Amino acid sequence: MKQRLWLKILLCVIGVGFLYPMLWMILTSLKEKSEFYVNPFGLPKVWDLGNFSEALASLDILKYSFNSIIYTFFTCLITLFFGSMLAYCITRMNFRYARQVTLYMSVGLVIPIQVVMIPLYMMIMDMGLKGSRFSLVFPYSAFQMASTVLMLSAFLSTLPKELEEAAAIDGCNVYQAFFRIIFHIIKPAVLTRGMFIFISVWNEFAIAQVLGNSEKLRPIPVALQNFFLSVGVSDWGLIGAAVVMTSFPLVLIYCIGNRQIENALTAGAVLK
Amino acid sequence: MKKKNICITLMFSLVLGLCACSQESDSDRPERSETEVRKEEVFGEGEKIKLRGVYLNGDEVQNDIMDNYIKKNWTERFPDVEIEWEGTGDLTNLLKTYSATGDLPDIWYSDAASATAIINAGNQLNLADHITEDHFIDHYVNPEALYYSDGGIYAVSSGIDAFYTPAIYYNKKIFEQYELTEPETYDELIQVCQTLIDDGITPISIVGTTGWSVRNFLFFTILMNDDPKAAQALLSNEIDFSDERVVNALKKIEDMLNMGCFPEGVANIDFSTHMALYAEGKTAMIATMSWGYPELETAQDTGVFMWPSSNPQVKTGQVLQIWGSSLNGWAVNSRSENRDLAVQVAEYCTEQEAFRHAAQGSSLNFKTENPAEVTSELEKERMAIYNNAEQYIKTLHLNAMDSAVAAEFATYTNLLLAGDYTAEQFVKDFNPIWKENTWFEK
Amino acid sequence: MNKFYTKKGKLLFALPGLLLFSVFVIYPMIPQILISFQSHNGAEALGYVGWNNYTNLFQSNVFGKVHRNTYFIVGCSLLIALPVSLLLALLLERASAGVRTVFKFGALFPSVLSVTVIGKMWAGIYDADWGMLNSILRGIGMEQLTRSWLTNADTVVPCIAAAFLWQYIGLNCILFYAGIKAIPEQYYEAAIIDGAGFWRASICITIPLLQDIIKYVVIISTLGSMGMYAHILVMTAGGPGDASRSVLYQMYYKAFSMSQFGEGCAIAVIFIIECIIVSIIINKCIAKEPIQY
Repeated sequence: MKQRLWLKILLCVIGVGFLYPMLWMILTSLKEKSEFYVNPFGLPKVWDLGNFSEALASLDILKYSFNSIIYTFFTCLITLFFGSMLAYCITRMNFRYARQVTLYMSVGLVIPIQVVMIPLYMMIMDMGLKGSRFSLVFPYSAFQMASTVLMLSAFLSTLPKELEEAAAIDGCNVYQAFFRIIFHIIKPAVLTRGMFIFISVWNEFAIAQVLGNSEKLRPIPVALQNFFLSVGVSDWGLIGAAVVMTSFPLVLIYCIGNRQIENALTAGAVLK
Repeated sequence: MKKKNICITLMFSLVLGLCACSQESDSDRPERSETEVRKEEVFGEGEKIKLRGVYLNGDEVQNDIMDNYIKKNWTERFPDVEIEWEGTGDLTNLLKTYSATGDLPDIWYSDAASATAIINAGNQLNLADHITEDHFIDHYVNPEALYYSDGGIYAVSSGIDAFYTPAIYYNKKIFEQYELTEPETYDELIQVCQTLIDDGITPISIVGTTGWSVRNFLFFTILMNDDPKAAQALLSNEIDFSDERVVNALKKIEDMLNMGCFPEGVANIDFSTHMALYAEGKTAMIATMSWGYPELETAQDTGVFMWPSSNPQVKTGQVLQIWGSSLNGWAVNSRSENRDLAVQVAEYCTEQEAFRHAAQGSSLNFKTENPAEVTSELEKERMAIYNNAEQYIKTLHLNAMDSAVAAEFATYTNLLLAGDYTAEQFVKDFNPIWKENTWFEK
Repeated sequence: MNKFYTKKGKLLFALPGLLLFSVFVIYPMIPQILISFQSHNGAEALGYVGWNNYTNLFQSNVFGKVHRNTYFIVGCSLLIALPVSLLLALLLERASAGVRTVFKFGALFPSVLSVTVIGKMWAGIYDADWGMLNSILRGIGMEQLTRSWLTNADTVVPCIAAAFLWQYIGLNCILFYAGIKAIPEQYYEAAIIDGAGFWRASICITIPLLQDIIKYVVIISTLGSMGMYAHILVMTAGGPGDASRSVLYQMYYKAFSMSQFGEGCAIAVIFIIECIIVSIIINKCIAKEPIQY
């Protein structure tokens, strides 16, 4: 029993340790600039909301959030829609090149998206996509496609063959079978995958910094980095306020959908 | 079945259509303006022309120019033009990325470290013909200062640059407390630092991120106070970094760092922090460019002296480094759709900048009506030293390095400030890069 | 069923996804390879230079340094973060449901935050003047250990590695835990009858059965740490000097800061080859066959 208590405390401390930096940021954001250097870690003596209004004045959070939402939403939509179709084709349509396609797609798992940033942006410029929000959505979708297809095909291959046979007997064609029957069955997998895409695209930095680094197109992480550069490293109250405000939507989603996020993040591993 | 086919095709074309519509780039393809026009019709917000601009923010002077001059008088001058300003503290990297990714705004504040790359890529407009035609150039006392080494004019500014020098500002109270006097020689400066260190006070605040202080003035100022000829020779590429005098100048920085003359973790201290350290009285001195004086003066009882000479032949204050670079100032995107308008905006910004500086009594290359007198005693004192100087040498990294070399110079000066990196190592690593400099190839 | 799965149908299902993937993932590697043999300033190619870009790379010290940094972080994530998270997962399995909820809530939290936020928070922790790490060291009387963590060329890479691993240790742990949960109970029942303790049960039963998931975590953490870039940009911008650059940061720096896109692409090409080799090695070394329970 003694060991149990020790274990309990250890795990709780580590668990809370993961939260602590964020907590510290929240406290920092509530301190005045002069107080911070005297008392960087304690509770603020004067609770001051001035940092928030100041950060809001110089950081257009609504606009950047809107950009981030557009990027994540369309990436999820395109990846999940076309990805599930491709996965279906590979696993269940007696596709002759299924093995080759799977191998081909797994190249996408191996190569980090940042590596191709140079030719990618040259290509985006040549295609005239530069300055459009789709200059980010398409590469994101393409890079998420690999893991989505591989995960969904693992899921699809566990389904019984009889599903389509029954559908065929009922007079459905393959499209109806997929959209009316199969898609409903794989919906949970698609949703967990969607959650995963949401998290990774919402936080993507490298490509966004190169392709979406104009005032109009910046998603939150890039805008935040620009904000930090203009604030410098001295005004931590302001930095804290910006961090807290921009993380707020994600933290909220995290608190509500903790279980789903856990599922989304582990789904890929368990299904492998 | 057909229905599904059509559905999918529709969806795909919808997606493609969407992306075609959401084009907002400043690419120079003709279709874009049509899209723009169509969009304006749809939204009905009509006639205003939209421009993008990038400016330098970070210190109070720049913010004052932007907020109280350029933005304030904007609608009066350009009622039909809407401009979206973006301020940044890291101009060099932002502009380089913008240039490489084709995101350059219509107008921006150019800095020499990024300008060569942008000019070579053909993105920075040569303003020479434009400003000669509209006689804007007649406003300048010395128009020659605007020309870049290839004979073009790539930026217009009020020309205050040439009057900016590096200087050491000191906290009079701390100096009195420890009975210190303004050092006349380098050795005296070291003694002052030693006294302060012994009393637990950090002597000199400088900027360490991207080696800012060292690369912008500290190294070069030390060199010219040791031997002005060596500084001139380096600036005109007659000697390289392996020259003994250059190594000695770098060694002085290394020695001061090891002594503890600079704040702890200086390699990570940025501009606003280095100002704050002095303003809050945590350091006794600050070695910085002279444009920062108003902030320092309001925070502390401040005095000024120039970097002390380390050579008996050279008198302190006799040789000064001036900031000037013809590439610093307002620049126009050569691919801008509203190029002529953007040129006007650049001229307007220059004018406003000049008004701001003239109102403070600063000396300028750009002529304005009724310039004010300098009110600050501190600035008067510095200008007196400035006017007494015998030789003015232009900043090294703005006038002798292409952007690749400038980037590496920033890297290695930062490394030098991180400690555990000797002047010899610096020379060994940086000299090959300096030799591949393309600046002098024209 | 061949009539059911028409050729047209297969094409319609496969094509959009494949097209998107090919255009934005596979195709860019072709210009990448071409540019790596050119002198290129970002706006225009200045002619082919043969293997020059590659020889320049292999001759420069920085290229070796960025590889050391990158593989140091890979090493840390495999040799430190992985065992730690596995151990935590094993302990977690033993804990009560309440503790588990608390732990899981905390553990996954860093992995949903953006790098910009993580990087800035950790920059605060490492600050020389008032940072948390130095304050703690002073508090426990180990003044001599305090230093400016992020500007010291010796400590900067481990410090960034710690921030990076902190972000993903919780996630790895939850992944392992999910794997442990998937192991059928009867394996343990047998072990309990044999009288095996925690360590023996873990080593003899749990870990071998976790092979699949271990392989998955090894792959994602290896490739993830190899691709590390944004953390460095936010925390140190590669500094002091070039001390903390990773391979990908060096690629970015060459291309976008120095306008030498040819060398940037050459780095990328070499790096892609490295990624492929590394993933083949991992695949060869661990878990040749999927386990059937």
